[in-house]
Amino acid sequence: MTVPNPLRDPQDRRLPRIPEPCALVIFGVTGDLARKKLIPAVYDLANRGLLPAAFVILGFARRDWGDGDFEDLAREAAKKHARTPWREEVWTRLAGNFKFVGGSFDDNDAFDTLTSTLDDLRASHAIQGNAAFYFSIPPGAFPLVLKQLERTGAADNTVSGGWRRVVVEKPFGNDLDSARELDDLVDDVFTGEDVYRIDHYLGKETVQNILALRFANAMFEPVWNSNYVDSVQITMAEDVGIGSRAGFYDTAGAARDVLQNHLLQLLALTAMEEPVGYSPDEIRTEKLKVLRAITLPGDLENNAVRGQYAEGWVAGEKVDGYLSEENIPAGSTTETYAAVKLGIQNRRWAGVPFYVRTGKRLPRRVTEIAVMFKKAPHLPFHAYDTETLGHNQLVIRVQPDEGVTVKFGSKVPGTGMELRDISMDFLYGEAFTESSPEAYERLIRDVLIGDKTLFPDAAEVEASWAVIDPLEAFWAGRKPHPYAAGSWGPAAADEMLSRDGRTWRRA
Amino acid sequence: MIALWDTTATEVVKALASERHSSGGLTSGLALNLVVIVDEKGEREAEAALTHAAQQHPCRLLIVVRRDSDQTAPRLDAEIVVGGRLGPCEAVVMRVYGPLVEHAESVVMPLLAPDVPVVTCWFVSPPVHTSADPLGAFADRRITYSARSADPIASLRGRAEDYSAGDTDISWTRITYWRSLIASAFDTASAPAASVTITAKQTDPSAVLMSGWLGGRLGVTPTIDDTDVVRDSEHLPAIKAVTITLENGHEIAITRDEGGNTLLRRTGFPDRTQTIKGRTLGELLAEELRHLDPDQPYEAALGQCTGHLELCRDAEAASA
Repeated sequence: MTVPNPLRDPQDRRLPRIPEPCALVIFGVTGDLARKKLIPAVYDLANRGLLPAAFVILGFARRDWGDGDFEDLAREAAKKHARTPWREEVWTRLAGNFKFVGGSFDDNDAFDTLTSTLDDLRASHAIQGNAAFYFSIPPGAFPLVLKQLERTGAADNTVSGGWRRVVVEKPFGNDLDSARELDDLVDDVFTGEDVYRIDHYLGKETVQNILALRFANAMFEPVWNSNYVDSVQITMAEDVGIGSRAGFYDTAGAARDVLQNHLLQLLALTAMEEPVGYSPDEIRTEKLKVLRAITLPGDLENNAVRGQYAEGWVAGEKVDGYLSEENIPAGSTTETYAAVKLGIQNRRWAGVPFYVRTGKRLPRRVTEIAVMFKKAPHLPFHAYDTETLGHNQLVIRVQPDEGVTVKFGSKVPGTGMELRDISMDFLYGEAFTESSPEAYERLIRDVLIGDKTLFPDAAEVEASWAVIDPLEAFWAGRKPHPYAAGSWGPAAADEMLSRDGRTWRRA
Repeated sequence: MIALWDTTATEVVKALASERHSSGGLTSGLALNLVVIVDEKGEREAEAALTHAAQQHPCRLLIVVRRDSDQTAPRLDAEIVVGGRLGPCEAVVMRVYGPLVEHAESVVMPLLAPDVPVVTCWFVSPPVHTSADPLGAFADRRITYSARSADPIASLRGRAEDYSAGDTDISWTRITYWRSLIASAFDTASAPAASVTITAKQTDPSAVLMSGWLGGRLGVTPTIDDTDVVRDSEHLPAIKAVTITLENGHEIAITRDEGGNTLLRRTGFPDRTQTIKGRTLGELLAEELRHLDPDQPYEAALGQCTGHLELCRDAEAASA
């Protein structure tokens, strides 16, 4: 029996909240995500003293490895990609706690070994039966692994005598139907409550700050509606191409890869109503309401633009076009750029267009949310003095240069009354600690603690697919507009805004 | 960098403005003023610590270096460093001489960035009344370091008598890792605590605060078993072990050896080893600057260990 711990005091903010003793099981531990993000994040958590004393990392992959081989890979990965400085003594403490089970996903013996290994760890490493399973594997393998976990009872909280959680990465299906199927399967094997869908954008400080900015302040919320807001632009641009993801990317495209999850989550946080409280359920309720209120324009021809990068120059280097990338079929019509005008049918936002765009091989890597305000109803100044005066803007820079910019008109020093836009900046790196935790660091810790605030649930995922499905149906059989790599996307996307009398903000 | 000899605060304000301007608004999002009082011999160590702290908390750093106070003529020498050797902050190092040592606030006040919190930190022996001190009066947070006083325990008692919201002491910061370890070890406790023994140097204010914290939270009176503790880092608490015996006879014991290896033993669980390394003054200060609101757990622990139980009641009222 345990008693409430009198040494834990919510007021005592120096003491970090540390997860209960547990194991983190990573499927696909030799993959990119595990090596570049997950293992380094575990090291960073250990370095910050945020892991329980009893903690085991259990790797699973199709390799004929011992625990030591896995530990070597993990060490190399952590050393290379960790955010915090390397400290040998931190690693030494983690080092004895690496376990490896080799096998393929259809290998019953391997999963039996995995389950018995977890049982043994209960005694040898005092993990009390708690484990989180991280699916760092292709979505096609999800059902197989889930069925194995069901068969061995490893997913069962009562059988294991602790909590068993599962972490899945996007894509959560590739349309509404497949997402539902996946949700049903995952929720069936684990309980709905124990399923954590990772959208790593939600782990970013700036994204969490959207709620702080909107609901902790008096000066923004009064103008956060269709009376004052002209339009909202949400941009996620990448300068890189598709890299080694050709196989997956060509079947998905920009809309499924980015728009369905990251961009719609950013939109939901920007547009949602105030939650009743800062709790996972209350926030999800409001996000879901706004996701359900999203509508597509009737005229998709002019308001949903797809693009595909052609060869060009990015950051001083000549790069291939999408069709010349390795393993991309000739004549592929998969988009690497998508821009859509969305509406939100509720009292707050009716009539305010939300322009969302994402693309690869754009001039720079940037993610931002720009709220463009209406122009002042009347300007008492001469028209020639206000020629360069634009919309007031509030820009949330998600990455890089995390922060907030407010743009407004100001008098140019001089004898006349010339007005021009200036900007006022809040930069995270200046006002707060130099390095915010990596998104994965934050999210892994949340999974182990059992805090679901930053994880979208099945209903949100399904509501997002309901937005994407009609777009994909409309685009099917059509060719994306080509755009030169290193440009800000196809001309059709610019025309989409200019027809509305607007322009994209140069992000 | 600009150096001004035998100058006035007005000149320093002007020079700071011009240095900020020429470096291109380097720290526009200033969140904090940090006022630090050091003496001549502590200057080098303080600068190293502040450079580290400023990495994590960009601030306007105002360092008051007390020089020869016997000199009859007041004098101010100042050095202005924006984004230079002291990290990403705008710093003014003020060397004050003679009677100006007692009136350094007249130099500091015009230099404070408006309407952002002020933290005052004494790396020298703190004044008897920190919140009434001219350099502490305008501060939202006041940080002292009792372990550095000639009589640390008397100094700690002074902190309790003088306590006002926003005070903390580095002797308390030093035990955060220990407290964190003890708190998580106690997560698996199977019964309430019956007794607590702290093996530590009795004159170490950190050990005394530890007994205050454990005593207050667990409702038992800890015993400090006086031992000499060899420390491999200056800013470690002089604590060797903490042992908690539960009402059912189970035991939770944490022991740290000289090298930092820390052994956690719990009845019914396998032993665990951890590392507790000493932190630098800069790292400790950075932890302090993370929270700018009053630290009620410190208030309660301080009250408990010095017999000023009114502090414990106040802390509890504040958290209710």
